[in-house]
Amino acid sequence: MKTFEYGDNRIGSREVAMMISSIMIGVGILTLPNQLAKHINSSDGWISIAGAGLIAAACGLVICRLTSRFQGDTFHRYTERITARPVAILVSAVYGVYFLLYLSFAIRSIARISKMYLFDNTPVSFISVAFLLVVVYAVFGTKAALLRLNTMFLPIVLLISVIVMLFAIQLADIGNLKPFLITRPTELLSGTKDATYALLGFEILLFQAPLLRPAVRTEKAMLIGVAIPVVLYLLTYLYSIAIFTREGTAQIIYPTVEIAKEVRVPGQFFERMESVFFTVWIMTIFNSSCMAMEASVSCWRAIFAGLNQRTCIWIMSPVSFTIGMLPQNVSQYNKLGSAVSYIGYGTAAIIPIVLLATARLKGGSRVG
Amino acid sequence: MALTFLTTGCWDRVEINNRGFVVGVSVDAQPAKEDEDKSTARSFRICYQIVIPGAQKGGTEGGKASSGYSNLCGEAVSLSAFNQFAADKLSRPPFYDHLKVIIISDRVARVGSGFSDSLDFFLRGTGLRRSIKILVAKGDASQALNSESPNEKLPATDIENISGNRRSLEKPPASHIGYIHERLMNETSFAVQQLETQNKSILVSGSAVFDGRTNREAGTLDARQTAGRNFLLGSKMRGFITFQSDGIRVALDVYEIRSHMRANVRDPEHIVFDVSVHARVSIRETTGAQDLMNTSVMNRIQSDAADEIESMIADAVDKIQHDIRKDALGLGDYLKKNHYHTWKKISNDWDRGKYMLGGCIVKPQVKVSVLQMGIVDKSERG
Amino acid sequence: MKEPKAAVQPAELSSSLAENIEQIRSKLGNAADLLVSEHCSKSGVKYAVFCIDGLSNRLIIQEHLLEALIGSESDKAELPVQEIKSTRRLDDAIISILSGDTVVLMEGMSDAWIVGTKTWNSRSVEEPQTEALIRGPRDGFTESFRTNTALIRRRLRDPNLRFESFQLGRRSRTDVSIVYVEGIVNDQLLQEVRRRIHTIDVDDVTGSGFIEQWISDHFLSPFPQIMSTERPDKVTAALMQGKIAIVVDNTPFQLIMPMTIFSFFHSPEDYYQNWTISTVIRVMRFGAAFLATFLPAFYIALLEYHHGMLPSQLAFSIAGSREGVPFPAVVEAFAMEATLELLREAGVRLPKPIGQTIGIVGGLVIGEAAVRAGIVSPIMVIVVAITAISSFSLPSYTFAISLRMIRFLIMLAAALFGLYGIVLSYIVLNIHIANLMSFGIPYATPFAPTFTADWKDLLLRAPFRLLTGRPRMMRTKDKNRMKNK
Repeated sequence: MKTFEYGDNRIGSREVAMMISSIMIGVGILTLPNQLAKHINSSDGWISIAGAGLIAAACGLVICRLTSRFQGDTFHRYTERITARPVAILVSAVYGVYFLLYLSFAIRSIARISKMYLFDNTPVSFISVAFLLVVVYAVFGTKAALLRLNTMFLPIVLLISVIVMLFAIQLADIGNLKPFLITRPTELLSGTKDATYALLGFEILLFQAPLLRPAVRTEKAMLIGVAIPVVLYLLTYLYSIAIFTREGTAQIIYPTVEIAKEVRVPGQFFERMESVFFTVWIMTIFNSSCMAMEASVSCWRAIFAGLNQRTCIWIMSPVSFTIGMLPQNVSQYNKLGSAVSYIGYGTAAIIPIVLLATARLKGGSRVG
Repeated sequence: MALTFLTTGCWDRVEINNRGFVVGVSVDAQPAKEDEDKSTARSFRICYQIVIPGAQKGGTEGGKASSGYSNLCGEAVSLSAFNQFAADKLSRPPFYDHLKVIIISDRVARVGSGFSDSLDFFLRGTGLRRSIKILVAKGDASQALNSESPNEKLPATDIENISGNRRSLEKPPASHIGYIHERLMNETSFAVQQLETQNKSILVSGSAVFDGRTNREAGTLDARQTAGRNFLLGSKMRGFITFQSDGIRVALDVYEIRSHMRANVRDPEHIVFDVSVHARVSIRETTGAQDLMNTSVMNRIQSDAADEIESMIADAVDKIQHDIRKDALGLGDYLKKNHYHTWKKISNDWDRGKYMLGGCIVKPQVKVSVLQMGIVDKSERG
Repeated sequence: MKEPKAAVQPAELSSSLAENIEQIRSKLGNAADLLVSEHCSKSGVKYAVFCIDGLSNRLIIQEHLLEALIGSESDKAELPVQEIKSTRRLDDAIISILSGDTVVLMEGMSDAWIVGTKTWNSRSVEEPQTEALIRGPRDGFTESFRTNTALIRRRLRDPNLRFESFQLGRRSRTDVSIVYVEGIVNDQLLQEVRRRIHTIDVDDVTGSGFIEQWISDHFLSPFPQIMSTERPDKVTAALMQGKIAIVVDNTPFQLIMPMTIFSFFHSPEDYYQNWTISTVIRVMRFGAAFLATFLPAFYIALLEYHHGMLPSQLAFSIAGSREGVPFPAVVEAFAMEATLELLREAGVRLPKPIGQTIGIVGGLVIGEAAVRAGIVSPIMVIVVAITAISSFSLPSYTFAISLRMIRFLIMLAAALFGLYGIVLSYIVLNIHIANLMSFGIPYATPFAPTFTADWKDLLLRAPFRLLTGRPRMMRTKDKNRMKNK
């Protein structure tokens, strides 16, 4: 039967907020406390996280302005309007590559962490392939369905996080958070840099313009969407310090999972909360990966006009997989992560600001 | 790709009855042979306690034929070397996810880095939890794994339960491997439960104090000193204290200990710690025939109890300050959290160098509140 | 109304009675159950009466119709019947005869009278077998079209209740009716339903299942996008929500559309009981659905891959009980589940008295024996039992079947990748559901896309005072079902 559009396939501000939260909550949260604790003394990392949150919110608002200025247009088209055609192609290519790398890194991360906590012998490539296939299946469907997936998974992820945190209260020793404010500002700044990496993802809004309902207030949605991960990261970090002390956290590679490991749910049945926690985490990383792949596909399709969605996905998947499997050891893996984050600063902050500024300079009229 | 899915097996699929569940580990020092060069790496004598699941049941077979576990012991240079050895010897390779206790002999803990080295294997492993209990054994640790208990089938479970129960003030709270890891990283000294095996039965009492910096055992606190330390730190242990009051012996069941510390850092060489300890108790046993409902009797008991506790605390502080000389009382930790600038200046000389710890004064102020006295007032007539 | 493609030019009745009789007889192949009788009225007019024995009410024909025809003294007899139509077309006349009506032909007139005399033996209205409730009406649809429409009419005496009736199937000519409430239902939806139904052009419309599969958006999906039910109260409740029902002749299962996945967890009983109880039971159903789908997979995953996840005592005890069991947990799980499915199928076909016993015998005794023989571990038996019970607790049979099938796929995923496989298959399931549409409404509404106003009746069932509006997701024209004070 031909499908029939009875419902409205455009999204409202609630979906936008959820989408932004989903893509931002990713692998970063698992390692963030550890990264911050390495250089930042005591519990002062909250300043870094809050700072990173503000930066993310600010960049997010810039993106909101861009999107609402060019309502209904795809990213490529309005970049074209602001600048020239070749520039737009270059920019889209940058985003295309960025999201592809993001996806590759996510695949590799999931495989790596799964191997640590869920498996032992299974090769990383197989774990990745399974994940990639599921992502591909999702991206084959409609875009509206992708966004619906966000709505379906995010509440579960948040719920489990809340549960873990509730039960972790008895493990936490608030005293471990003392002393306060003893770190040097330079360390805090570098911590902010680390934290911003964990908060990347909101630039996805650039690509959702055609889907938005006209009345959507993107600013509010963006702020809520950014706030949720920031609060989550903050709490996770504080919990980690409270439970493991700062020195302990600096040594534990995935403190978030370790918190879940320690949580004791009364009733004795669930000794291993971390498996539940981790499997639920797979859902949110899946969401991020889907959105990233979808964004990448739309970038490439904008550049190569005749490209079919399916073909694009078929090409992208092996490429992404290969890139994901490139790192041969831990340090190369970290380098891949750094590469993604550096490009991310560009895509999330620099390019949108430049675009908005150019658009403003070029002519004040809003394109409806 | 798809075909490989179908043809190859699943790499991690292991039948549950093909796992060798290791529930307890003991680490002893291998006595050095005479001609051995002391500077070479010392080896350990390690024992694994492995569960034999089938024999656990014993029901249908009748009788206590098998013991439900088996201990595999051997000599190895490190834990991972022993892991290898175990895999060579057992039909079911060792599986550590259900490991409950690790017992380390004090001979290992006192020298070199045996203590922290043994723990590394268990901290790093992915399936292991940070709540594995660590105990230090007086003398030979592997004996503990051979103990017999009327209640538990597995000695390891027995030890774990004894370690975890909070009903005695004479041992410190159970030290989990995660907790020890944090202390080692923070370089603060800490106390670990001490275990002793006599005639195949286990006694957990007293504490072994470790130096956070060298990772070695620096000394021990006996039962009374451990109790004092528990009071000082306001730990969650419950237990009994016995003392003389007005010619009779009174035993109190301590429900709750609350301790609040304050420090006066004006003189860094003689820091004064005011610790107010509030113990909530109930009277559990008395000799003699005093009327407990009488206020003055009650007050006397409370004040005598407070004196007794203060003396316990003083005993503990004394041992630590003058004998062991490592801060396992949380004093340095307190300074770090609440008087950070002072701490930064003196931390290098706290329990070494100039030894500021020695100069500080701990002033406990204990208050005892008797909440209940039980069901009867007097149990005998004078 | 579509003409059958075979027709070249609609044949008309002639004015000659004899010719007509001949035509009709030959078209029906001189059927033995075709009764043709010729009568002459008092006024000398000749009539012919056609009916099919077994489909028509001979009593009415003989006592009223024939009397009126024979005793008529005018040119045209006055027939004392309520339901009467006339037609010129031969095919219409024949179809009417085949439907159970009586056709009266008059000499000299090329119009035929079609008198409504349908009657046949059908099942009396009884409790629906697959959807029994404790507290609730016990009438269910039967195979008779008219009875079914009457059951709906009885409950909704709204003049806006519309039945658009027609016949589907070239040869079966099954009576089908689109039912909706004008003023509530969304017009776009209605048009789409109409459009889809009228694309059906087959010989035989065998029951509502055929229609359901034909007009579903995604016929490849294991999940039903249209609900079939035997209960009139379900239909009327759906109509009140702005949904559309299709009533089909010859089957007690009528269709309701559009459907979301959550509708399959709702039972009319939820509205007949107290709201707290209903809420608890609804939540329980979601839990049951989860168990029915994932429990065997968890068993496999926990016992094959993640032994650290079980509490120690349980792990040792399971390991102990599995000593000596020859098959790995995967094989065991698949074998037991397959056996259960076989038992279930067998149970359906057995006559009632034996069916009960087999259920108990199969379950307990065989399971016990298998455990004793050491082929299967006792935990597996428990898992299988819980799974079976959970799947029975779902109110919709079609949905429960889908879950049963999916369960095996998830078990396979668990066998390959353990818990990771379960998560991935859960995600795949969600992707599938997210992409499903039922007549333009995404399958996961009102959870995604979110209509929070509709959540009052989703997981919980709010007290009636709070259920003032119709579900927003249906975009009905009339938004309120309750007048606020």
